[in-house]
Amino acid sequence: MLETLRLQDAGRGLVLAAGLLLGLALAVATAGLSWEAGAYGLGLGLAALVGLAQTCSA
Amino acid sequence: MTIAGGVLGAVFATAGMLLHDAWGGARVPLAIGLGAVTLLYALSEVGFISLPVPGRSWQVPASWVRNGFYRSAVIFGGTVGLGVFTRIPYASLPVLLAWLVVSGNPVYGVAAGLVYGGTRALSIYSSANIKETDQLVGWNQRIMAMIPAVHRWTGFALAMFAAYLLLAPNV
Repeated sequence: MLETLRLQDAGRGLVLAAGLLLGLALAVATAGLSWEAGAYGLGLGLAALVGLAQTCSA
Repeated sequence: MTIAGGVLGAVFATAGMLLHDAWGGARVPLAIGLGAVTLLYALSEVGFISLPVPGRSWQVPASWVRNGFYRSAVIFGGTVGLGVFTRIPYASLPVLLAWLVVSGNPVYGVAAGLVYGGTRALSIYSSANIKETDQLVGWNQRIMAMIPAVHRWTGFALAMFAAYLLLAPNV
């Protein structure tokens, strides 16, 4: 039971860390360009995921 | 539903444009602030902390879908597609709407809203050719089985968006 919880925590932490690292990498890779352009792109991806999440819960 | 998503995006982005016109120069601090809030919601989405998601528990009354096919589709789809009047199970919708306000770009707001509304209606589009009730129930069960994975993907996307908003305006 405890082992399962630890594995779940590790999995969730991994998901979070991967997202943070990719966001940081994108910010560094696009340094010098308009920060808004990258945010617009990420915002569109987020919009698609928001809709998908809502459709799964309907 | 898809069109309602576009309307929703236009409303929030236009509100942002008006706010920026009135105050001006607040986009960067607002984006960084949104990044901090998004990070907290990313932690909540993957289950490390528990934060309330703003929203209502109201459901569209069943009587609203008994007014003929097209009229019901417009009323039901329009209300549900707006997303803000019914239950919001994910923190990503308020974050998206806040981002549209920060962006203050109505054209972008419409585009993002249409993307949201389009994917929001995927369960309807994908079941258009299903005629049997049993098949429809089975299809909806398969879609709902994706919920845990969608929470993880939402947490991942929120973390990525948070990191970008916290860092990118400063580099």
